[in-house]
Amino acid sequence: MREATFLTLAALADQDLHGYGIISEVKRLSGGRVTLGPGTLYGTLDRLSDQGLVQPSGTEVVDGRLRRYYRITEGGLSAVRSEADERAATLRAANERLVPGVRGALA
Amino acid sequence: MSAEKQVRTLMRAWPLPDRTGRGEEIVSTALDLLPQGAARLPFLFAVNLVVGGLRARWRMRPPVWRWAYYRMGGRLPVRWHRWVLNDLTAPGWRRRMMTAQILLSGWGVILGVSLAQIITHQSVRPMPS
Repeated sequence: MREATFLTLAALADQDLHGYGIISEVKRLSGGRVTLGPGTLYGTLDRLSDQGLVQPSGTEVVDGRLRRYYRITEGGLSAVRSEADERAATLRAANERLVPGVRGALA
Repeated sequence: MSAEKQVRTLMRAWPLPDRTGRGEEIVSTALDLLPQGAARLPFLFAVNLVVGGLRARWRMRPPVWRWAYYRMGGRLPVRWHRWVLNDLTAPGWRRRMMTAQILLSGWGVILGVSLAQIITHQSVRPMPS
């Protein structure tokens, strides 16, 4: 799963968000490392909708601007949980190799 | 040209069904992302918007053999409805259909003649002496 896809699903995991909300949440989750542009965001949402992982949940107009909210589906939650577990396992394995003194003990 | 007008101009890169169905939503999100009172779009922001539109066009295209079938007058499954809608409403539909039909017919003739030559060549082998 690409990082933009994973972060988009993670942003929607506990709340419905509109496009700008998703972009802000992705930036916060990634510590400012990932900033989605509108083209990337709507491409990602298209793919996730086609796969049944997210769905539109409502529309509102704020200050004359249209906002559509997106909601994660059960399938989307399973996908993001499974991806988060895999990434956590990879990080654990990497961190175990970075424990001070391990390289010296192996030599 | 204001930032909003620039965004709306770049939205032409997106397929028509996207522009009519959720163009206003994409424009709103793009404007939310711009700094207050921005007069020009940042270059990478503009590129992202255009590339997103071109990717949306690419994603909704049917595979080549379905495309060929459609151009020859065949019916496409509903999955490609958005692409058909975009094709039908974009200027030059008749020209695209006619060009594709001429090219596909030409390929059909070349393929048929080549197959006939291969079959004829295989069936007229010299008799062993």
